[in-house]
Amino acid sequence: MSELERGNPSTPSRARAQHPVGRTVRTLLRSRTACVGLGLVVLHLAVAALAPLLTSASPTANAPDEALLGPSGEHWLGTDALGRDVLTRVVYGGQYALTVSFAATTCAVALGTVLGCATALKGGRLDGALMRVLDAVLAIPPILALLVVVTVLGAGPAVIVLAVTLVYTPQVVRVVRAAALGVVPLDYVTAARARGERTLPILLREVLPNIVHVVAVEFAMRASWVVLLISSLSFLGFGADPPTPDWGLMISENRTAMVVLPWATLAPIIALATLVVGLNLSADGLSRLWNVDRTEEAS
Amino acid sequence: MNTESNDNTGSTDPLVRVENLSVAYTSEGHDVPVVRGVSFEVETGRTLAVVGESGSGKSTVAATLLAHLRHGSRITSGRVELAGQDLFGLDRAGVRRLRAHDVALVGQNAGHSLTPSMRVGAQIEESLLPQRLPRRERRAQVLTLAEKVGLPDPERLLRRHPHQLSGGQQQRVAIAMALAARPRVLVLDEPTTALDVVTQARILDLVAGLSRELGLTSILVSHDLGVVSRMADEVLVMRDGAVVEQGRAQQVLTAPEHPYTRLLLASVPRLEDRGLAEVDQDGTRTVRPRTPVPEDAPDAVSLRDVTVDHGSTRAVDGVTLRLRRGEVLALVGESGSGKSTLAWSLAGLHAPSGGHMLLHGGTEGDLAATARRRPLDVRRRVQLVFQNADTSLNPRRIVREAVRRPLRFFGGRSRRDADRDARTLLSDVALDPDLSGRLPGQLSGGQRQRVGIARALAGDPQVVVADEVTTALDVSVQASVLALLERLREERDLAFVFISHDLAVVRGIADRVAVLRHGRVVEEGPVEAVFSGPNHPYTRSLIDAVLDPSDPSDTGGHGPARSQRPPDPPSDTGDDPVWHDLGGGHRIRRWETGPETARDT
Repeated sequence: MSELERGNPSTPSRARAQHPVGRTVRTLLRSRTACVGLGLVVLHLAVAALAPLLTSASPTANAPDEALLGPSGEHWLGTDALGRDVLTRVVYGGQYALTVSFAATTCAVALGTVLGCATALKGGRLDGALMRVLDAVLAIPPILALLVVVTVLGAGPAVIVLAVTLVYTPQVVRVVRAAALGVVPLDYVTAARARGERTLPILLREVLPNIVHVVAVEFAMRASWVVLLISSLSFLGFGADPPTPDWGLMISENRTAMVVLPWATLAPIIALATLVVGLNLSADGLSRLWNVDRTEEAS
Repeated sequence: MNTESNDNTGSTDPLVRVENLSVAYTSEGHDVPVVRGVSFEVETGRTLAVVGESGSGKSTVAATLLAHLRHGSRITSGRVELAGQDLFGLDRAGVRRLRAHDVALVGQNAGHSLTPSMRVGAQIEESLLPQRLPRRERRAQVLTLAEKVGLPDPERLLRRHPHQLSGGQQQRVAIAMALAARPRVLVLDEPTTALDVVTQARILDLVAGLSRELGLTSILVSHDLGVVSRMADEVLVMRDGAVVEQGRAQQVLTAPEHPYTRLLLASVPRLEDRGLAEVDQDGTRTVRPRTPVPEDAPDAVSLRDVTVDHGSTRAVDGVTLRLRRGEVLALVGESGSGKSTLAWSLAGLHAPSGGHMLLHGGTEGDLAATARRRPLDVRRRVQLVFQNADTSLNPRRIVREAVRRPLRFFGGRSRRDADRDARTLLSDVALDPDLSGRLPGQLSGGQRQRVGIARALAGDPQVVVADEVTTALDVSVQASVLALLERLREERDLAFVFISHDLAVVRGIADRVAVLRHGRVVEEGPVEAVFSGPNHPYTRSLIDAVLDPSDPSDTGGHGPARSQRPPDPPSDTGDDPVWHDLGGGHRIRRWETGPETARDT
């Protein structure tokens, strides 16, 4: 491929290369893994966003006389102990998990990207010091750190976003820094330095555009971890507050009746699993398409 | 070693035969031909050189001799035979046998082809494994091989890791690995392109000597006609995947028939040129004599006792030089001589640890500070052009943005003004302004280098530091980039610091030359005086290492032989404080004439 491009530089297919967005979409369509993964994620987002249109029932209103019903024409997946429709709650249940997870992931990835690029660009003692501090944070198990933060500051979406950001930023920093270190010694960054540009413009103009694929993969990867973590928190009773429809909470509430009403537990589990699998497949497909080395991210 | 099989095939049959070979790869459903109908034969013990510019398909042809095709490529017609055997009819085991016993490859960059985490001795030993020798014999064999390829102190060196060796030593290890298989055919894919001239000369000597001694048949792939003339018995010139000319080296290189070969040959800078050669499409070359820099030209930059340190090692040690307006000062030396470090210091990327570095002329200022500490107006007056056009442009930014950024950064222009000026600059560097919407990946190497030059000009500099700007380019492109630099120098009265290890290029473009060794200047003077001598022995060795393609060493059969080997550079460190002044600004550092010769490749 490269041989031809070098030999025939005057006739590259212009239309194909002129639109980066179009090219990205075309690349994505080539990978079945990425398509399936992104499809699942988009499906979940759509269901969560359009929940009020998909079902007319209320996800929170109690109906004691309809409690613990099995699947029927009226309640496809039955009802739970308080008589709420399981399907309605599953459809609404994505809202909390998705909103909090995506907010938390965005914060962690954004902060991690800025820190990772900056430390790679600055290098030297600052780099060493920051990385050691982050190593120390990395040594704390995420769920433990989260429980401590939530216990001290009280549960609430903002607190959880903050806690997840703190817990996951170091890992993002490591990955982004490794990618940025590959770009920093290149001549176009050197040229910007020779112009005497400040760190932030160099970071935004020269480094970030060339590692954006790493950041995208990292986002998908990290999001799947965060979704699981936040659902675990809800399951443990530190996340969403009870009437809120949330998958983790639903699993926790209904698991006592699992033998009688398997669907009340299984449905949120399936919803959660498909979302996590979708995110993982997206990360996998994207990293393979863009040749991102994922070995760093095993941590 | 393989005499039996040679006898079987008969002495008249060529060892390697490629018949009407065509290779194509599939890109988005279309077949794109890479090699079109190439045929050649190589007899046992001969060296065939495949010559061409990048993208000519020469490496693809060479790789087919190892039964290798790049991923996605396939053979659309023809066959490749080694001793009568079709290489692409082999099964997996056959291919493995072929690569283990019959054909060996020496690649371009040994630094990349050696495993970084393995000691080099173990790596050579690994390629001996197919011979199933007992361990002790294998070890002995490794040592013999290391001695054969001229690795100094092999016992100790074999225990090192690749990064602890110099580029020349790495290439020697790669050659030892290739020879370990006792191959019949050696494929040399640009074996010396990544090395500097002096090391290149030694490696070529080594390969020539070895193939004569072992009776190897070699296929040499190179874009460097000097190397080809040094090594080849026969030459095959390729362009866009097809053969344009083939024949005996002597004939092709001295009396080329095809205009393309003539063009290629004419584009190679020669030591005897007294200026830049202009080459027409039909291959006639006219040397344009240099307009001398007026005696009273004011200084542009002056350096006094400049030292630059990398940690505890001193990369540049007490350099005193001056550069006048409209002048091209060439810094020459081997890799590691400190020439690039000095250039980067000038450009403000690495602060010198001592001495004075001053900018004169329209804007005056102290250059002994890093770029960010320099006032904006001083910073813009010294600009850098990089060696590697592939990495000097941000792959995600279109050409216009690359040139516009410094215009806006230094000139504070509005976006529209900067866009207009960027177009002007692009046409100044002889680039179609319509290319300004392209990404660097869509440009050729020469076009990218022009964008790099336009970006440097955007700061409106007084001094341009050009760091090996033509090294990575094909000869014909190199000639046009050099001509561009020359034109810009005249039009804009620019002063250039031109860094190169190729003295033939320096001869054409420079007004004055400073030879660096171990961070010190050992000789300095006007280009005429330096090239007519007398010289410091180190300068001499650099000049002698230049390979001239019109001087083929076809000795009619068993490989090339050249009587005058480039002398080894003197071993002294060049710290003698006494200078011989030869007048006219030509001065040479005094040297010790020791009997010992340095073998530090």
